[in-house]
Amino acid sequence: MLRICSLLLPLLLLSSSGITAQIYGSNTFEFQLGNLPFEDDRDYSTGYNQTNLYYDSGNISLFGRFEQFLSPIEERNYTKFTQKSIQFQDDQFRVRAGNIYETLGRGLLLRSYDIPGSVFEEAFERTRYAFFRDLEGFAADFTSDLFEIKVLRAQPLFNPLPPNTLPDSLRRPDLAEAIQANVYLNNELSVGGILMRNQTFGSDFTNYGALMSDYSISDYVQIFGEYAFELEDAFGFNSENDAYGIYLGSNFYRGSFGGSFEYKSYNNFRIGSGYNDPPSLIKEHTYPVLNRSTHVLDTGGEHGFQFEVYYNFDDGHALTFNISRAVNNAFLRFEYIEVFLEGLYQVNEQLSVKSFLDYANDELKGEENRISLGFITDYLFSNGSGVILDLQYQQFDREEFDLATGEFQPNISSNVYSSIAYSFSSDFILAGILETSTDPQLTDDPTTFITVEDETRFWLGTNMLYRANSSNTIELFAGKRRGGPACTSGICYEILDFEGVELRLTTRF
Amino acid sequence: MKKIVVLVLLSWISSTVTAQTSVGETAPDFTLPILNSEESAMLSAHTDKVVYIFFYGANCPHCKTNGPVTESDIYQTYKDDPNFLAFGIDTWNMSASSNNSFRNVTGLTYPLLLNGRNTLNAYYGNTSSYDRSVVVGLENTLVYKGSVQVDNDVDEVKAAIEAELEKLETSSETDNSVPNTVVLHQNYPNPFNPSTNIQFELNHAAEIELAVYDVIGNKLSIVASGTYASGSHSVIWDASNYPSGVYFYRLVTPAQSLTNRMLLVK
Repeated sequence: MLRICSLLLPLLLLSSSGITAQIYGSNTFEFQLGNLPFEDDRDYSTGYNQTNLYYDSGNISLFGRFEQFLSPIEERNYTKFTQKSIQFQDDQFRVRAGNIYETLGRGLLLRSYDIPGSVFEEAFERTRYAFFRDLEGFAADFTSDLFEIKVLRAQPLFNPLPPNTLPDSLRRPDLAEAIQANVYLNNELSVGGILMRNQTFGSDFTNYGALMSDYSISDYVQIFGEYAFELEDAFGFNSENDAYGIYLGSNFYRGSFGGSFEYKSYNNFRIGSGYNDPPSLIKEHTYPVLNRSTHVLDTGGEHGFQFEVYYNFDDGHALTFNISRAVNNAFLRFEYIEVFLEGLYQVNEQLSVKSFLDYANDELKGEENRISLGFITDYLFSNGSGVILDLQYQQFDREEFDLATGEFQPNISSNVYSSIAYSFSSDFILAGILETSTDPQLTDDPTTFITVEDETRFWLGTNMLYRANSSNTIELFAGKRRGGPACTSGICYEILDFEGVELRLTTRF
Repeated sequence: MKKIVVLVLLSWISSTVTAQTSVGETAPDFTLPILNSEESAMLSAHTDKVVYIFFYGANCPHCKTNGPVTESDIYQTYKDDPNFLAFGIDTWNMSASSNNSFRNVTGLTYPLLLNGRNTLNAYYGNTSSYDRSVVVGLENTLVYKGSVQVDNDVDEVKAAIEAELEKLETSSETDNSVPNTVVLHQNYPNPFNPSTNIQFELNHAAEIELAVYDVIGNKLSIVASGTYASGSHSVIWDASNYPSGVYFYRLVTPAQSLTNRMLLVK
């Protein structure tokens, strides 16, 4: 693909002479000196660099991403063009080749993603790389007032494997070929379908289909749905063996009031290496104590719903209520249920307060009566500086094994997140973060197998952000950072604990 | 039983990297701590057994939802067979508390082993291939290596276990007419300080090696080696220079490999 792009580039540059062209990009450099708690690598220094380059000229766009990781251990290092793509686009037609991003329907059959700025660290190798799941291949789409058609043939990235372990081509075990068509019957109603087949290297193709529709009942209410299935199992979703996914939803609003309702049911619906990424429907929170507790969808067998309503008051206050439920039923039954209430209070022009209260039962994590609450104040001083105080608390019941009795005993664990950030201006921010936990899963040292440590664990860190100008930003972290599960835009992954110093320089040009 | 979706995903990936093991090769040995025990489990101590291994991550969500099938469809099916063993191996290197929570949620009753990330890497050549089933047959030969999540290849796993158990039964029937070539007795005294006797028997002359290993598999001492005549032999291992703990002694002959455990208490 790189060869094709490099051959095409001069031709494109020539053909586009006379048209305004621009080259722009960004660079992120990250240096770490520190270690992972409980690991052997003490004071391990690494450098990671990512450069993104864009070229636009008329209808043509080119993109390239270059990544480099350097550490004292040679086999963990790599220097690679991890993405390159070319695109032609006019008012209705678009064709792309190389490393591209595409979602079919509402993502039941295929969803790719890039989380900008994210740097993922693989636990075994401690190799860092950009966290994305792109598609390598080509895609074309045509859009008119009456219909839309997409075709693609591409290989999704199996992104748990870092770039140093295998050639890029071998990190793409699956091949997806698909065609999607949507017809806009009128301004209110569209219907569509998808045919897709997947091949995981060496296996036969498996064929999938999907039917979907969007309907605006009125100016205030929209309903939508998608039913995706393995073709040989079509409409047979009473059998536990059938592979299917059902996603139905509705959005509604009237004035300051609005909300949504969604229902899902997935059964035996893991495609290839698991690159299909259907909506999980459990509300993903940005509050750290809740984000870490996000329920992760299991497409092997799960159904559930989420319902949310909000009201925006005239004076800037807002209330949001959400209830969600998911039941995993692949083998044993695990229920997840969560009720969430959030309030935003605009006390005056200088002070705003946000608070939340959340209650959940998460059987898969063994956590019951999980109560989380938070209180965040944002105060703006008259000289333009400001201070944000963020206090969050969580506690839950989980049975813990008592070696002395040989039985599981009731136990209550708690997590605290607190931070204070002072912004001298929007360009210079200093913050301190203190987290504590009494959760035995975190206090217990994994290297002492028979001894269970139960002393409260602390993470204290400081962050500094300085925007030197519109193009350059410096971020510095020093201290201990708590790891664990993290979710962004429905994508969940594990962040490693870190203890040390981290410097990040971001440049746009 | 979930529908079988035969994928070759990670077996193919594994075949492209060097640090991995293929079916038919000797399974990488491991000595890993057993959850809630001061003891360790060593694969090479079970050359005469069929060993099922579930590689999981203690906090991995799909390992929790899929794990129960390894208990209900695999372990419960074969657990009464004396030639069958099952181990779960945590590949996320999580704490004992996390693994106990995993055990509680999934209801697994077979032994769970800790600190297995390197072991997974030895089998698969990477550490992303968890939620996988592996079957190790007689003489620690790798007879099945799963390439999909454990709920998708239960039938293949059972077929591999049954084929190996059948071999063992056939072998036992044959062995009725041909006495065992090698016997390795439990050392005595045990526990011991600082030396102990290790006795073994050969029914014909053979080239042997008797060595002592620590719990992480390091060979510490060769106690006996060379050609030994048929009959009973006894050797002494002096552990004056070694700390208290669990040790393994292994007798290797061209026909067999046998391992026993001993405890040094100072």
